[in-house]
Amino acid sequence: MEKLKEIIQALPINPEEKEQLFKELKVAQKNIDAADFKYHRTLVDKAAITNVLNASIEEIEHQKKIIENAKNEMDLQKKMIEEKNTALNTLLSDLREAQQQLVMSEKMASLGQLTAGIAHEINNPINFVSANIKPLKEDLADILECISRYDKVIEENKLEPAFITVQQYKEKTDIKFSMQEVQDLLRGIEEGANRTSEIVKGLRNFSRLDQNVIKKANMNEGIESTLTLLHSIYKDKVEIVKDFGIIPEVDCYPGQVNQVFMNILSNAVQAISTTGKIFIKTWEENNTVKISIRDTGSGMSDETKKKIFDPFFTTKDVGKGTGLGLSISYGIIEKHKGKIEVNSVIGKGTEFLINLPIHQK
Amino acid sequence: MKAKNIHGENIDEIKSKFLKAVEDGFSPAIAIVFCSIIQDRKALIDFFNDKRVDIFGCTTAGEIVDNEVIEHSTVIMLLDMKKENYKIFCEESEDTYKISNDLALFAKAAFPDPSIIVVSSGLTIDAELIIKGVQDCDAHIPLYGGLAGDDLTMKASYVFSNNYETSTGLIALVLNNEKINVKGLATSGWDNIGIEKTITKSVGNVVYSIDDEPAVDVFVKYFQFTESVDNKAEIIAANFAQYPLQLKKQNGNVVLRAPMMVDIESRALIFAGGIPQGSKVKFSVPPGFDLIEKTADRVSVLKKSIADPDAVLMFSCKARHIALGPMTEDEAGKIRSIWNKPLIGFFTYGEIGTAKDSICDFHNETCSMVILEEKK
Repeated sequence: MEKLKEIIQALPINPEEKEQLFKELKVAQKNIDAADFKYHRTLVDKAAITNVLNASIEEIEHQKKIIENAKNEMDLQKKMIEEKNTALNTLLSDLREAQQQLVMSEKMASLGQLTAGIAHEINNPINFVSANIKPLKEDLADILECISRYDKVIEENKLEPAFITVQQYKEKTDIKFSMQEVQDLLRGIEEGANRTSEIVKGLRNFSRLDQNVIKKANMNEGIESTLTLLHSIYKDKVEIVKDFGIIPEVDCYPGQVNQVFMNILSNAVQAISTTGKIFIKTWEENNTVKISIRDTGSGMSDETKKKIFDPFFTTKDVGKGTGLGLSISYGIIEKHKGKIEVNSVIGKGTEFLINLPIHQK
Repeated sequence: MKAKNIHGENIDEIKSKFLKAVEDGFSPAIAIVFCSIIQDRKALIDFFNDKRVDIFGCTTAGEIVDNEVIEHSTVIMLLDMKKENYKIFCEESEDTYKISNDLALFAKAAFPDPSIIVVSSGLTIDAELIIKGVQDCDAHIPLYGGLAGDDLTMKASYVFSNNYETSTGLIALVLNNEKINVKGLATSGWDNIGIEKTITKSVGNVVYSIDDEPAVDVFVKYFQFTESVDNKAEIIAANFAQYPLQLKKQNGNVVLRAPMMVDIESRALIFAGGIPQGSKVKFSVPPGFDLIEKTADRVSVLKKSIADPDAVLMFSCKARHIALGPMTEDEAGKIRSIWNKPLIGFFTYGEIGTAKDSICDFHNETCSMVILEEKK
């Protein structure tokens, strides 16, 4: 630039022209400086922007990785929470079931004690009645024989006039009918006493107070006892068809097993709306005792069949069923390491098939 | 009101140009003086005291007069403003908030409706305290100005008047709004870049760590290209200042904070304005060279307020000067051509003004304009 100034200064031109050239030289210099500055600043800014952007990309990728890791961790945590939630729900459901079963078993225990108490109290007087019927019948027969012999002596000795008032009384009270009625009444008392004894026996058998102790029990007897207790609800509409096999005694909690029979048989009776039959069959197979209880009732759909062992599931009207009977029955059979299965066809009926191992290990 | 600009590289040149300026009977009441730290301020003050001209002055990091950018010189705007329309406030103290509060009280006592143009000395003062000090007294007083410079030596900057000079205080020109129209606008143009970062440790305007990394190391990683930071101020000014941090303040204002100095021992950066600990910041980069046109367009909205001002003052950030280089002169020229009226200014260490759609704040990297018009 200084060289250019010297050249302009040395030019053979007038001062105004030189001044003009110097001005133009100054502008040119400024433009060169500006261009040089722009070039260098552009380079510097480019480097700075590249650095910041690269660092930002790196940081964003780092953050992205952190977020991804956090997301994975969250997914894992979520999965664990879901698993724990499911486990807790199962546990809650089990606890509820256990609580209900506990409440139910306590109720059953109380009911058993009550029933046993009643049975015991009834048993003594009914024994008294049963025991007295036979001598009473014999005494009555003696009395009737005696009266018959009196009648014969009067007739043979023509003593009727002397016994006219007795004869009149006999006619008035229809003594012949009374004598016959006394015998009928005695037969009725005997039958009633026998029936009461059966019921008491059934009650005592059903309400076994040894629920928490494994004992040997005959399933046929358990079913009989249950039927005795249910007699009043089925007698007018259901015919019970029994096919009891010769089966060994089973290691079990007898009271609980009877409760299962009670639940299944009650349901079977209720499934028969008008009249029908309940077929009960027992037999031994592969170290197990099998019990089939089949009714000719309404049957149930597959959907209902899937749920019948769920706690609180019921097809009965509100207030008429707890929905716990079969759930508890299922639990009892499982506790005995047995199986309970159900087959059902709508309109044809339902069969419960119970499998109980003969021996509990 | 008439305004005349003079400038020179020494007191003799100033004296000569002053005498020439008053040849036609022009009688200035006040001289707005912006000069390099190397200028003989005592001689200047004595000269204007002798001429009974009030002085409102400060040292700079470069001077602007009309459409010229110069360095190591003195630029002066002479104004024949009526003395009853302005007052000069000077106060020296380390307590920036208190003297700013005193300034507001002084202004309100002087005029029922005042405006303030303030320049402050001090390289490490928290200039936001100036604004807070004034606004806590009266939030409606318009406030403009900048921080004095010292040619980037980063040793001491000064403000001065007829019988006053300090490196720890401020000087203010308080104007009567009922007689003098004053309007201003600060405009930047810097763009943010990259991801948000967090100021993890700071005290006032000293930032120790960004995202838990020493602040100097963060800037060195991105913006130091060849030189060593051991040269401190010069390197910071050359390399870092044009890459300020963009800070979104609690009041909603978005401001730039330019690094001005380094504390090598603590690896801290000293910014030309406070950055609270925990603030979210972004780096920002200088705009393209079309900024000059954009700035002129933005500033020209002031024409709607004052179409024909008597004088134009420009407070332009030194970091902006570094970023725009020789184009800064084009910017001054463009702005001057909006009104074609006398314009002086200086390169600051921070500007006080109001950005578009914003409230008064302390800025870096802006071109902060103030236009004056004495009502007829």
